Amino acid sequence: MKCRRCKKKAVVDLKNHHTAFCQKCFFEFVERQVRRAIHEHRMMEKGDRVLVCVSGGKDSLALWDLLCRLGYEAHGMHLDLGIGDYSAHSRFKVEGFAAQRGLPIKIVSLDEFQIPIPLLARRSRRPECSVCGIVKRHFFNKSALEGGYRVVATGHNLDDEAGRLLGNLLHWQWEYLSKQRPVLEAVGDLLARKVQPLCRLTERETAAYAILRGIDYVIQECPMSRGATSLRYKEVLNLLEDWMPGTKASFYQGFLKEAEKLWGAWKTKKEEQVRPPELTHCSLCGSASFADPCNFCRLTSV
Amino acid sequence: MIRVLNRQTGMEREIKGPKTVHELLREMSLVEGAVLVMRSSELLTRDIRIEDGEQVEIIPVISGG
Repeated sequence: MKCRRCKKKAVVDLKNHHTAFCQKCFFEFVERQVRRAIHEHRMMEKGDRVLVCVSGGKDSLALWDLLCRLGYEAHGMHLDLGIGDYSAHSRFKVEGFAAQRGLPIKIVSLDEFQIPIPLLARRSRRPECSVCGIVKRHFFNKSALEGGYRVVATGHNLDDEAGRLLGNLLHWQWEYLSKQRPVLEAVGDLLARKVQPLCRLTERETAAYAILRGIDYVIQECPMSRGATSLRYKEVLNLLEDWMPGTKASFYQGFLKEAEKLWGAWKTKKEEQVRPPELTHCSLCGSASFADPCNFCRLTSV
Repeated sequence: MIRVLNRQTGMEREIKGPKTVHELLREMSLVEGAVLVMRSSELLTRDIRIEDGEQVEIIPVISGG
C-alpha cells in the first residue's frame, strides 16, 4: 500500500478515510486534524496556557506532544489514582515523558489524601469509573483555577465520544447529551474551559501516532475498567465501522451539527417546567457545584 | 506458522501462514479498527503479507472505562 500523498510506502492505513499514509504524511494528517478541531470549535488561542490532563495512556500523552508541537504553552497534570501497580506504572510513564522533554508536570496523589479510588468505590458502593470521574473533575478543575490556566485539555478521542454518545442515546440521557460537546465553556472563576482536541481522531490513529513518535505509554488497561459498559459501546461501534467505514465520525460529527437545534427546543421546554439549578461554591471545599456540598465532598466524606 | 503475540495480555498464538494482515485479523476474529499490527518495530498495513516463521505483535488500542 502506498502513501496517498507522496506515494512512498505507507505505514498506516485508514479505512475510514479510504487512505493510507507514510510516517511523515501521517504526522501531518494528525496535526491537521487537531488544528482543525481546535479552530472549528474555538477551543483555544495561541498564547493560552493549557493544562493537559495526562493519565500515562496513549491519548493524553499524544495530546500533550501535539499541543507542544502546535505551539501551545501546555503543562501536564497527573492524578495518581492509588490503584496499586497500575497507578505506579502510569505515574512512571508520565514522569518519564515530562523529564525527557523538559516539560512541567504537576502530580497529585490520592494516597496522600487517603482517598484512593478502590477505597472510595468500596465505601460509597458506587462503580469505580463513576467515582474516578468525580475525583478527576474536582482535581483537574481545582488545579487549573489555582494555576491560572484558561483551558483544561483532555485526551478524549472520537471513539470515546462516539461510545459515550451511543450510551447516552440508548438510555435517553438528555441531561448528559446536552453537555456532550468538545468544548465546555468556562463559568466565571468557578469552572475552567474544558476542551477535547483529539475529537476528530480515532483511538487507532492516536495509538499509531504515539507508537510512531516513540511515546512510551501504558498499554495495560486500568484493572477497574474491566467489563465497563463504555468498552462494550466502543466494540459495537467498531463492528459497525468495520462494515461501514466512516460510521463513527458521521455519528458523532452529525450529532454535533444537529445538537444545537435539539437543545434549543429541549431547554425551552425544560425551563418552562423547572428552573435550572445555579452554579455556586461548595461550602466545604469551595469548588464549583450545583449542590452543596459538592459531589466530591459528599463522596469523600462517606 | 506465524507467531502472534498480544502486547497487552502477553498471550501468544500460532496461526498458519502465509497470510496478509487483513486475513490474519479475520482468522483471529479481531476488528481492524481495534488493533494495530507490528513486525519488529514497523507498523503494518492490511495488505502486507506475513510469512511462516515470522513473528508479529498485536497492539489493542481500545481503552477507557
